[in-house]
Amino acid sequence: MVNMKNLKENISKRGLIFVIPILLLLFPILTTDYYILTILITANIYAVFASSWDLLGGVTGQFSLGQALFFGVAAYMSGALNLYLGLAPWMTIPLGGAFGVIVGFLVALPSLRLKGAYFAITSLIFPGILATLILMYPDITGGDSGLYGLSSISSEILITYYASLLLMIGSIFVLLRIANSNMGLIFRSIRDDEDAAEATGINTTKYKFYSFAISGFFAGIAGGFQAHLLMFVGPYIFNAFYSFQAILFAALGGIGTIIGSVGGAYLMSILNEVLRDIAEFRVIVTAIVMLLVFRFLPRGLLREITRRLGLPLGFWSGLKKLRRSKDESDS
Amino acid sequence: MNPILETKNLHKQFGGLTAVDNFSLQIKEGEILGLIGPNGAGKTTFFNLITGFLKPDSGIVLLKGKNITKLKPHKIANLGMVRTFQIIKPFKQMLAVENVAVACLSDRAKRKRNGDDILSKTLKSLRQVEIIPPAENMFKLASELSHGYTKRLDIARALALEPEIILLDEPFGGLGLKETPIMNSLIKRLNEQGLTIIIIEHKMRELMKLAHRIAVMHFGEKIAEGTPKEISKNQRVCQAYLGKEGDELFV
Repeated sequence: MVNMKNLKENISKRGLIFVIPILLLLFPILTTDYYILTILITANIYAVFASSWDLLGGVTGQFSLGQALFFGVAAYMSGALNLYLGLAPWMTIPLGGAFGVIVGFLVALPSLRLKGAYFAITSLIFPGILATLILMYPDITGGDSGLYGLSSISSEILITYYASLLLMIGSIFVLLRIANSNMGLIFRSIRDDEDAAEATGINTTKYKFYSFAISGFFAGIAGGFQAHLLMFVGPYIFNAFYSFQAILFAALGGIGTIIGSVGGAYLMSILNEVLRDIAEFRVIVTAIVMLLVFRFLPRGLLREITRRLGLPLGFWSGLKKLRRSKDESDS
Repeated sequence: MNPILETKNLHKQFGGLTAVDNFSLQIKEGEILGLIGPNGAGKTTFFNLITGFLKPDSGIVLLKGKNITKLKPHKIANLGMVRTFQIIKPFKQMLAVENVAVACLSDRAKRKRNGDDILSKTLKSLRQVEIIPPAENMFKLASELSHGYTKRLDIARALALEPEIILLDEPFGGLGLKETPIMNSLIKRLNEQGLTIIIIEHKMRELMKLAHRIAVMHFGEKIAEGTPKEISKNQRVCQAYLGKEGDELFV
């Protein structure tokens, strides 16, 4: 249970959350090793990707199994704009995100009629359709071999690192703000009971569209960044594996927390690399780590850590006013 | 006086089953109307029809003279007719205060709020149904509240829209000895403040105390309508409930 005193302390402890981005900003002081920084860059991209799923699946309750659709479509879009029109990454990545919004709207349509597991299964199909389309038009899409020779983010790994960090911190900040806003409160009400939200005078259709669009945007910019990072995008990007990874990272950190996705993405990216030497056992060790987390911290790593530390992990921002109006707390 | 809510020949068929059969009803402003009938009589279906959760096969629903038959549920709620559910539907993973705050974000609540901020409006609704005080109740997750509190939380959420008419689906269902009189006085108080109320209820003792008028449904049809006294003496009603003569039902 949250009580008034805790809540007030929580709000004032909020500043502690800024320790993590500062540590990441200072990280290159320790090492500027290309290999290590690349791992962290990838973790940053996946953090954005997973948290974009979390807003849609964890906060709004639209349990999509096809998040790779937004990621992949935007990656291809960014790649094509770069390759054919010669636009620079700083332009193609946001444009890819904008395309993610459009795709988000399209995927929202079936979600209006299909609920729960039925929507989840339907959403699983979309990335596959896109992958097929890609293979059908090899002249534009590069077919099986994809689009290659894209501009890199930067030739300096350090600049790429900071760009990815900026992308991650900026995205998480905005997504957190949304999740804790009035709109986020409505998203959560749709997750908990769509009929009750509708009966409460909430236009659930409209807000589901918003959630899909926002999620599509952030998955899109993550996809665009990935395309430029690898200087390549191929049809494998629509693999269901990517969609599952988004959910897995979010679940490890704590579904519905947004920021948990960062923890999940970092944990798994680092674990993946640490275990590279024992490639045969990697899947087993990863699976064991996952099992342990889900067995002992079923609500996610970040949720558990923040609970122990008494840190806040998302609440409706309207409650901040309680701090100012003392009389309410005494009533 | 024009009725605040009126249904004309409302009809709903589920396959071969007629759930609501040419049901016409008028509700006057400021009254408490009890809607009773055996299980499966079509009472909740009637609520679903007039609040837009189900579309009738034929017939119309008029709210303050406006045809609302084809409107979506949230539109109807924003017009001032708000319902609660038989099986309570709290936003389980949200705090009690957040549950009500959502309602304060609806179009109608925003319009009616004039100047009040969302939080104070939310707290007002929670006070109205006596969830606060004590203050710590509002920081409980809805899933941590007792059944009685959750029932009242549902009503607080509805009240936040400042409705003109509220539909309560078995507000006394599952309430204990302590909670029942609280609910009773709450409903009475809301009605005294001018709210029109329709109650579906099986607990006759409570309903007889509250309702000004009672309508009885049986197999989707309205078989009787009148004051509680008239209804308790009605042969057809007693037969529908007990399958035999007698008025022990309403003592």
